[in-house]
Amino acid sequence: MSGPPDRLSGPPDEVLAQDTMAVSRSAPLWQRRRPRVNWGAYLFLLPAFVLFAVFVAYPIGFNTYLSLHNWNGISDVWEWVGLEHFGRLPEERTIRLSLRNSGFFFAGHLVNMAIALLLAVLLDNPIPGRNLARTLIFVPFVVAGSIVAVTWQTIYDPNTGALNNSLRRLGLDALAQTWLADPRLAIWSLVVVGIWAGLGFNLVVYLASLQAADPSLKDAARIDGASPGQVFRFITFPLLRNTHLVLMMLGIIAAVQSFEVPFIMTEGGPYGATTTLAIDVYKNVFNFGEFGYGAAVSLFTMVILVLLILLQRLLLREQRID
Amino acid sequence: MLRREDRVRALNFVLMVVVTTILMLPVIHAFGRSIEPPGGLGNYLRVLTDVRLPRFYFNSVVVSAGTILLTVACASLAGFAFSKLRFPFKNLLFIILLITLLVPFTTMIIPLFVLIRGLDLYNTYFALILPLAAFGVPFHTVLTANYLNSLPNELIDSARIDGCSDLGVFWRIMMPLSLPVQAVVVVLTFLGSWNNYILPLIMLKDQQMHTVPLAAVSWAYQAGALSQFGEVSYDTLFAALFLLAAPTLIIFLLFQRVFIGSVTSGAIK
Repeated sequence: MSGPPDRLSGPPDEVLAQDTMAVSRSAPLWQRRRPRVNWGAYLFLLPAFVLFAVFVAYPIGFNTYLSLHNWNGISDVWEWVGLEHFGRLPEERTIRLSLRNSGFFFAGHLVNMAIALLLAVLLDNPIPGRNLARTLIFVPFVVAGSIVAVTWQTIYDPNTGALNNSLRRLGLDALAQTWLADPRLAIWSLVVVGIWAGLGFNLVVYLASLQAADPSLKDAARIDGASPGQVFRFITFPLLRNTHLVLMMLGIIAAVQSFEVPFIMTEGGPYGATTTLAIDVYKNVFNFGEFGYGAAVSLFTMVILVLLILLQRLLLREQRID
Repeated sequence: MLRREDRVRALNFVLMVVVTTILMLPVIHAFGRSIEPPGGLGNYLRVLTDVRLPRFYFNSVVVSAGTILLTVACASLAGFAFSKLRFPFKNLLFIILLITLLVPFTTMIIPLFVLIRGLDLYNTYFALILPLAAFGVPFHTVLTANYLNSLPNELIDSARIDGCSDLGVFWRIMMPLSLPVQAVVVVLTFLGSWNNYILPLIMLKDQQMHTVPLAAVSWAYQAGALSQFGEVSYDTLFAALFLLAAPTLIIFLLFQRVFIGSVTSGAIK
């Protein structure tokens, strides 16, 4: 069956028409069959890439270069120190506390996910008013984090705050605490704020995943006599594996980057008990004028995040295989 | 005697109401304090007549609107090119853009501050708009390109035969058809820019320029709410917090479905 290719199996007419349009009629023969190179396409990319070059790529390069120097942010003198700043990182108490606190924030996120999942299973039932409940629970996520932080700050106030006032009214004076000034308690007080502010988001994502799942699996299990607990344990929970992984990943990203709630409520204190990497970067620049070291901390943050994201990619790929 | 099904349903309803109420306690409490005597509802009136409030709203509107316009323009143009045009180094450029998604904002604090100061944009709206858009555009380009991939290429081909240029195809065909994804871009950009705290914190000097999130914190400082010790006079603080949160709340309640859809699609894709 050699010979010229069959016209009928060739590309449809539109494509042929486009090809002939693509090269001008007077083009030499050798150009006729080549795909058109669309140089105009670069004009479409131009705005996005100008922004990217000036406000993302250049700053990252600048930051990397800066991290190898000492600079106070004003003078013309950049003192080369090589990798010294990075060598300092493992010994710094602030860095260790920041990583620990990110771990605590992530632990809070896991609790958050558990509560959100249970609520999502509940709201997946046809209960009157469930859309209103979902909307209300989502509200804290929409409001600016700084407004949330200020509100909780007043609730935690040891003298006039609602938390201690309620405890006292219940006769539990012994439980009243200085929630944000106690170095052991402060981080957990902030973790609670994070859970409250992020719950609506996790709930909405779980609810959407539940509603997208194929109901026939659950029905089949129920017909086979599975209890609601068993349906959740063996059908619902494994079906949501992808959602669990995505939410965990978003939680890790947020935990590593957390800034505004601890910065506003405790400024990382008392004695660094609630500090984070971003707060450390901010303080090094705007309080101590150590631009070079701050840049090193900020690059360290990026490295951690990239490693964690690669880890997630690996986990997701594994799942696709089985 | 209720049937078992009805009992379960009633139990679910009670559980839902109880949990939602517990989660709303901080909001209910804050509202209660916002109308505390002696001011009562007048607290709101006092905040509303504060000369600074309109300025805070205005600053936030300018920053959000500017960021949204710039993001939608850049992301839709680039998304269209990546999805529907063919050109050399397409994959490479796409991957370069994707790298931004790996960069935490923490890494950008110092270099952006130095850059904005060097460009003489410190304490201006552009100090917020340009970085916010630059940081959002890559993600939204991917979102737009993914959406356009689902639209058939025949639409473009037939338009080209009718003599439409690439720009014409983009403007007359792709933009109207991609309105659902543009809505997602607008909502996510609005939330990101309106609520951003760290950029205004490092880029603005004058209270005149403060956006809503900064205003909430400075209001709280003036009320003495942010120190563990010393005199506190909450006064109008809670009414101010509600009024500062009001624009987001109103927009959210009006466009709930788009909001919740956008946020979940952003998370799942």
